[in-house]
Amino acid sequence: MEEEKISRRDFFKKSFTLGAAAAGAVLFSRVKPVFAQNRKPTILPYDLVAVMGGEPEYMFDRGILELGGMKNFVSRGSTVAVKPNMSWYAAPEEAANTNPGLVKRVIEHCFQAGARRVYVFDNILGYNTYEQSGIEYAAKEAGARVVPGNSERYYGKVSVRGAVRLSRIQVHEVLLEADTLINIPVLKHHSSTHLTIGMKNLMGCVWDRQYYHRNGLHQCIADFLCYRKPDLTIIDAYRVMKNGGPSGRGNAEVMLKKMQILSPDVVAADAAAAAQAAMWGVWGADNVKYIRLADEMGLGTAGLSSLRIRKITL
Amino acid sequence: MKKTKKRRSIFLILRILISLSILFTFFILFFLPAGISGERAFLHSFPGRSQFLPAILRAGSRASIGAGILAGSIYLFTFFFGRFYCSSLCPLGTVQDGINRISPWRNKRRYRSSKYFPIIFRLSFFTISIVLFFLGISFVLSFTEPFSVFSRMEKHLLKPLVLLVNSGAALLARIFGMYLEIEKNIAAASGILAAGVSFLILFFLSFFRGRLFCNTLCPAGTMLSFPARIARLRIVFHSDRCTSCGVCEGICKADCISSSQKMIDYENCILCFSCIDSCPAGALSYQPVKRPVTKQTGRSAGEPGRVQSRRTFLKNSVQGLFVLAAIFIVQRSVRFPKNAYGITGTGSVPVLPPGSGSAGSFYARCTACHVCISKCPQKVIRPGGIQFGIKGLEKPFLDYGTSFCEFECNVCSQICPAGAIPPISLKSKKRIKIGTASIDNMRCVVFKEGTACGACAEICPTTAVFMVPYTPGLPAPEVTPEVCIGCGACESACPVLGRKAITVTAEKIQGTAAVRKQLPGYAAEIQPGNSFSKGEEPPQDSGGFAF
Repeated sequence: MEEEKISRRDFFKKSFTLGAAAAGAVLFSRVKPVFAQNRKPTILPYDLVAVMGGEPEYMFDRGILELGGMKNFVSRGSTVAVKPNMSWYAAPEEAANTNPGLVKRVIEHCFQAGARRVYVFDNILGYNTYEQSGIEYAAKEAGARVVPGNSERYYGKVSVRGAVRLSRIQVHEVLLEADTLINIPVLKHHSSTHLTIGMKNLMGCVWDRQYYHRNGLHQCIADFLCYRKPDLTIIDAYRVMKNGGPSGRGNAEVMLKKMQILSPDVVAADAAAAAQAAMWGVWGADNVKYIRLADEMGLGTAGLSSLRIRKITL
Repeated sequence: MKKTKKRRSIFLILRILISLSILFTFFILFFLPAGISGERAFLHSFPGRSQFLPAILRAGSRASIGAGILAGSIYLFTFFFGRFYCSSLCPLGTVQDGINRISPWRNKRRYRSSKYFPIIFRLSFFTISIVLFFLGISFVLSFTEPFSVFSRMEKHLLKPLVLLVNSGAALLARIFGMYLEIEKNIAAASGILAAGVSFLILFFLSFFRGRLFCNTLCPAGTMLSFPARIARLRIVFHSDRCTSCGVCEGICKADCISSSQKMIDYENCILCFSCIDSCPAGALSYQPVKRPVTKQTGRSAGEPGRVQSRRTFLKNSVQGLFVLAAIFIVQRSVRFPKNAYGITGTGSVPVLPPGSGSAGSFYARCTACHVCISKCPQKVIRPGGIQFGIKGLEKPFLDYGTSFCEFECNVCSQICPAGAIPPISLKSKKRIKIGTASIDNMRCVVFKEGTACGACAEICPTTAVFMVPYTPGLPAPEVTPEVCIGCGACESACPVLGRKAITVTAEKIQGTAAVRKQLPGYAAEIQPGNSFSKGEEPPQDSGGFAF
């Protein structure tokens, strides 16, 4: 039988096409179809867990246990996007950013649950805040991939359905790839919205913040949940900035409160945190419009009396 | 004819090595980002600060002893070695040598005597450019100062290419999951124009006439030509070996060797050593002579040739030192003039880098080298066009359209080669007021549309812009002008399209901002009796859960 001979030209043509296709696949693989993020909904033991009195890492260990473990949120072989607050040029003690130890612990749990890759990112409001907040170092120690968010090239356009003001937004590319979104805000006062917690933290996922400010800040914050809700929100209230937020400049008062709130419902978590902040005397904490809006739009539940809450004091 | 293998001149090799090392070191330091930290910025300031004319200017304008020692040393060494600076240390010289190399006239040069370029032309051009510079009209000096010319060409012509490669490399790196630092290239029309014109002129000068620029327009060249005339070490003819073949005259970039007369014009000789290297008979050498003369005649080295009188020697020395002293003194006296602004007609007041004092003071010191523009991490410093008058042409200003001056950064003051932006500590820089913000209520969305914003207050580094209660649940922004440093963060954060609702007006003379001790408005400590947002008393803090 005659051997089929491939000419040199054919060989190069085929190799090149294969190589180009492979490169294209790698380049575009970040954009996954929307349905990849839907997982089988699991019934959790509680809707909201609040822990008080320990170090952030230990409080998270206890809290996530109450929710049935990280495996309820992270599937084996999946990609996780972790969104802490690391927007501010401040050291961890200033409580303008999320506690780095907490971020590290969450990432470790993700890997233990079998995550293939964990991304950490934020659209920051300063220079070199990734390093100054201590979160980049902590995240890398835990094995996460820290991605910049300070250039438009890292964002992809998506459309949002069912929102009042947002129709098209540019979200960070890791959101397009991730199966799970874990939201780790720090609870603090905010000069414009009174409080910044979980829903406001998600503003760091989009490129054009000015659009939010221009088109009804509270409405846009609520609208983001029409695009994607975080699978798990962990509110860091270990240190809480009482006033002068979000930057903390001007000798803002930082309270050591040693608290943490965990919930798959970011609206519920925010409502609980707001009630707590109001008790601590943060001005305006009882009147946070975006929590009300999200509740009215049915994007979550702000009425805590209807939820199954587990409270732990260490 | 038997071709003998001649030994290359050691001086030529040394000169090429040194000049290329300096060129490549400068490129690396130019192209890398300097970050915002002080230590890194100091390293990146090395190219500009090590050059001759910037050092003189810096010594004069900021009384920098280090700069004075550097400039003085270069000048004094020229008394001994000749114009070694021009071939070995000046990067613009190396660029010209490169262009000369590709010229078909490379070894077909011919001697042009000093009659051709009367010293009076060089001196008057030099004097005019220095005098204009101190009057605040610097573009004559800034277009001929060699380091500034080189730096502008590098920033506007070469760096965009480097950043393109950086961008491509970053794209490639992402395939492998790595994230390279990407520096954005901000194209400035006035900068590109200036650099392009400079490059074209330089190209034609070098291509056709070698180092013509160095011996006519260059202020450093003019200054160093004085000590070079009486330098102890010089290139001399050995008349016993010279066959008057003319090879040396053909290759001389400075057109300063006469092969027939066995003569060199030392004020024009830039010590490239190509003549020594090319001489087939080895009749030229670089060596000390007993009695320095202005032109070396054909007599053997060491023999007194046309000996210069002591009077001429003194005249040359005094001339040179006088020029140097004059620059120190005049620059030192250019302080913040009373009418500090000094720019008329256009009405536009520029925001200047913190530390520069005022437009009058700044424009009288800046050579428009654009190093600050290149190194600014926020890319907020841009070269001016004519919007600030002719004095502001090519001079840096802060453009708050899309960027702002980072609070934690003082890189521009650390790297300014001419001392136009004096080196200031980060702590001092945070107090310097370069402008004042003010809010236009007609354009602010809080007042105009009743929706929440406060992007300005959020990002303000000094709490000059802060939020006050306006309507229930809706705070509004307000400015305390004394606290504002004019960094422009608020202006760049303002989401209003077109003209922003909060804008910074430049301070004509930069001052000191006040520091706020206590947070203003409702953000301050809750006092007993203060109403909570809904008019109720805040709940009692039980120390437990609130839900």
